[in-house]
Amino acid sequence: MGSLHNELLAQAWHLAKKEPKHPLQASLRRAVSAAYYAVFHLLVDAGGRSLTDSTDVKLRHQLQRAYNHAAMKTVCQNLHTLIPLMTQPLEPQLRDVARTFVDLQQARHDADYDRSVTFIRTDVLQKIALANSAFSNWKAIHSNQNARVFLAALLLQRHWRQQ
Amino acid sequence: MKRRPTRETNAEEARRINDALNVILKQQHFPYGIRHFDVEFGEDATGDPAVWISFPIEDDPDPSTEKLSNLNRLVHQVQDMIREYGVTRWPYVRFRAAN
Repeated sequence: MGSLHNELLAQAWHLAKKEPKHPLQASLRRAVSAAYYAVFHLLVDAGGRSLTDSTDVKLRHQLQRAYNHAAMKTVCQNLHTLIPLMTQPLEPQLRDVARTFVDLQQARHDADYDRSVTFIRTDVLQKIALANSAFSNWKAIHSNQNARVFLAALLLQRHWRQQ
Repeated sequence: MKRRPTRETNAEEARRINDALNVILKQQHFPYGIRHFDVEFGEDATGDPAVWISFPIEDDPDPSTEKLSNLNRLVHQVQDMIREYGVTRWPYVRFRAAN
């Protein structure tokens, strides 16, 4: 069985190119949504794996349900608040993953709810390409110390802030 | 759902954004026939202050990988330049139909 995030990214490309000449708004909008959820599940999967043993599948799935979209966005928009926990310099790939998460989350919201926007294929493919780059960038840094801090913050920073 | 407009549009921020984008425009970094841009202020889906930069562009049914990379580079360049000009709103960049 393939990973959900890879399947979602493939689905995004498929939907965006599904109608070669006159793409349906429904296809383009679902493609944007799939691109966002591809990056979301990439990070949630990595977060769950970083906090559990490989045999603890049930615990991992339970942990993954605790990730919150808005809280993750806040972390991505405020990476500088993690600097005390991170080693310098911050990897540009990590900054890129964080930026892409924020951009795609809003794009997904527009795609799902904003009927005043008409999507064009160029825009949608550009956003899927962003997700694609986020996958490559994450692959390059996922085992770094800063990536582990980032994953922990995505899940826990909203609780750290309350202290 | 229509985007909620910001109660007050900050004229100073609007000027900075225009200055930042005109710098890129003058450097002729806008590719693929992009000649101008539209700016819209508001709050994003989580209620944070944001600005949307829209670039009218001819739709391409099958853009090359290189073209998508160039458009991504433009998006990042615009976001970086806007931040360099001291704008704290999150800049969202999108491409819209030219006509």
